[in-house]
Amino acid sequence: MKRVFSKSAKMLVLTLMGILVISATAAVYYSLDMTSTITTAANDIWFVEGLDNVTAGVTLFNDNKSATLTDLKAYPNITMTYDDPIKVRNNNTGTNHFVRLTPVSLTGTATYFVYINFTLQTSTPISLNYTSNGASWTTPSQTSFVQVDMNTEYSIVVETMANATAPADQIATIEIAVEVQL
Amino acid sequence: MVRYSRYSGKISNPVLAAAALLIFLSLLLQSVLGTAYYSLAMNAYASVSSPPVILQNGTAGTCTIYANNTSAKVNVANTTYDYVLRVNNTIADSWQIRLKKYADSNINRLQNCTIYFHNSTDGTSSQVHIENGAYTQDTGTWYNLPSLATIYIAITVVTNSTGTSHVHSYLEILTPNTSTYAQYVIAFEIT
Repeated sequence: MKRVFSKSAKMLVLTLMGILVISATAAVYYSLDMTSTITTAANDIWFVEGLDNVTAGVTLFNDNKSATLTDLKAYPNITMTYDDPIKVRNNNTGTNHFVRLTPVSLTGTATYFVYINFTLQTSTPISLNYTSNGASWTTPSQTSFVQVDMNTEYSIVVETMANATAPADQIATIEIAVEVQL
Repeated sequence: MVRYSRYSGKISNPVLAAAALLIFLSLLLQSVLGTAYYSLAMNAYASVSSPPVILQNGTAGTCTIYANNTSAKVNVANTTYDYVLRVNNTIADSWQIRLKKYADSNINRLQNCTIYFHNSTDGTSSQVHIENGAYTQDTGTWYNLPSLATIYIAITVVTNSTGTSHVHSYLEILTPNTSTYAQYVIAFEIT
């Protein structure tokens, strides 16, 4: 009887201690998350301009953590490619990171577009391909995480096409996010 | 030594159980941490524009120009055609252009086939060349398309049998000193 009680008591005490430790650990981890959010201002990943920054109308702001591409053209029945309008840079010289592409918002009529595609040229490229059937858009799914090597830059290729009878001045606005895993 | 050994045996099971529980909960915590991220925002504005470079009919062969003058189908037979298409720059900007084969069919019968550019002042520029059914050149060198200028696409064909061959190509139009380019589809049908 004494042995059973002793074993159970030890088990209970150890488990409670473990849960306490885990709870305490969890609190520390959540605190670390908050710390990471604060250090975003000096993060390792940011945008830099590519060779095609002028033709694509690239503007960087918010310490290169936000970008606009205002001059992308879509021509009727033509594949228009911007091979290097903007890059994602991992500025850390000792740590690889992981990023993914996430669709955020899309406005503009689908009637006159065929597709607008964004591809991050990592060793395994990831893409967000917005396609239109002439009536409605199909928004792509969030990509998986891919590695961005330390001290390395990766281009985001943009490809567009309007349909054969598209008139000029139709506009589509797309916001995407490059999400950096902590 | 004996007492130590017996004591060790008694406490090992609950310790192991607790340790296993701790490891399991720690793994759960790792999973939660794996979803944390921060975001860079990118806004892209794409507008439909009129093509600054358009395709126009030539004076030889049979040519079909499709909507918005951005794609074409050329039909030729066994001879020289100068010219089957015109590439017309309608604005003041300059470009560089080339032809690039991306697909074909039944080209074995093409003993000699050359698709080339020329303008009114400079020499010719071979873009796609097939000899005895095999490519000796499937992508051309860049050729200047100056402001408001016209480039002519010509073709010379020698076949060694009857039939129909196809060469599907892109006319690539590059903004100089960038990697921004457009691809127009041009199909050559050779009977």
